Amino acid sequence: MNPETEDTQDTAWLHATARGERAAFARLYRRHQPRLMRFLWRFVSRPELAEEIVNDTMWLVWTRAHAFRGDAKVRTWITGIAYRCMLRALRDGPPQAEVNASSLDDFSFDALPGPPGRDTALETRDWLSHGLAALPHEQRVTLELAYYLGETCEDIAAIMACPVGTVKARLFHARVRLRNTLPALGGEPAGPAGGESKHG
Amino acid sequence: MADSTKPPASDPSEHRRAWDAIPWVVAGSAAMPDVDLVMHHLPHCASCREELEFQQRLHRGLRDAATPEANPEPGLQRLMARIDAANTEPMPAAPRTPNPVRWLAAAVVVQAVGLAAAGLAMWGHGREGEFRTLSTPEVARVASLRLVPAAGMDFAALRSLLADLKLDIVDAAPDGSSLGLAPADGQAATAQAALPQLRAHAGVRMAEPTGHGPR
Repeated sequence: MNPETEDTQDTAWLHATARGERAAFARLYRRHQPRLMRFLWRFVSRPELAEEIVNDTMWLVWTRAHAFRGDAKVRTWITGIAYRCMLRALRDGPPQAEVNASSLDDFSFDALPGPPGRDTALETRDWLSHGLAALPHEQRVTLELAYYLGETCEDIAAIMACPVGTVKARLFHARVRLRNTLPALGGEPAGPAGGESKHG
Repeated sequence: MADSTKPPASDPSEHRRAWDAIPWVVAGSAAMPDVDLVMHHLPHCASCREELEFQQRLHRGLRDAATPEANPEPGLQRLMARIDAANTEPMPAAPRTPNPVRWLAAAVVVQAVGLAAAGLAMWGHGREGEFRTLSTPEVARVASLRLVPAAGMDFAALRSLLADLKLDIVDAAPDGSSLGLAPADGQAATAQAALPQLRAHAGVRMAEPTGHGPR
């Protein structure tokens, strides 16, 4: 669906939600829950926790739909709420809910079925799991939002409540770090601090 | 291989902007001017071509690692049940499941009602109440224990637990993240006895002594 059409529809459903129309809210849920689940599964080790975060997110959408000001797309607004709910869950939750290399290795990549008969894809995922696990949390979230959800730089700034420049800097550092740790993808050591400092 | 972050001598500014724009072009979220910039720059910049290829592999790797599709219906049903339950309560906007700030606010209301009732009772008993000070246990108490409720704990269950353990809520953290508890009988032994039971309870994420309160 055209992104503008989708946002127009989302906005109409959100306004209807603010009036207490459950059918519209259910449509919003069905549209955004799968996307949020996929995103959250990348950061939490338990699927049930991911669903709990999604439902906390959508609960806030239900109760605060009237507070949407239209400064961003509805999708961005909802993703921003999910991001904050995830941060809270990771901060307050039990250790197994936290982002760590083992959860990424065990769940997000290795445990998931890849395209059949593609050893290179499996190898790539293995390298990626190690490379992504080495990234600081904010850099990893930035990369996932950009590459996995396809969010724009401006939308990522809105989701993570930071300036656009910060998003660019985080992505830059993530790229440099991944090139140092992912030679299997064709990366090469880009030099330690010198390469990063050029682009701040 | 060349250092991909190193600007070529020809046009450092264009190289830098192109290099920065590559991930957004790869992800398909770049603005058209950035797409044009990268497309114009690539033919004469080997390091950016290499970077583009690297980012494309990274992008494919992330997309290939996509997580399984989840059926939204069970989650939607659970959320709707939560909304239905909330609608049956006095505060329709309040979640049924734990929202620390909301149910701590409810706790404060309950506590205020209790304090008001206690004040009225004291007033009804004549002048004797006038000699009580704020340091007396019945009026203001210092928290002996600090409790952080678990996600599944609702306010009714919390009240029941605290009543069983003879504990009162005497304060709450400003951000609503924890509660201060004091023994209802003012005895330190009551708090000490309650601590292991609180820690063992599934609805309690953390319970710790504050080092204050009755000794």
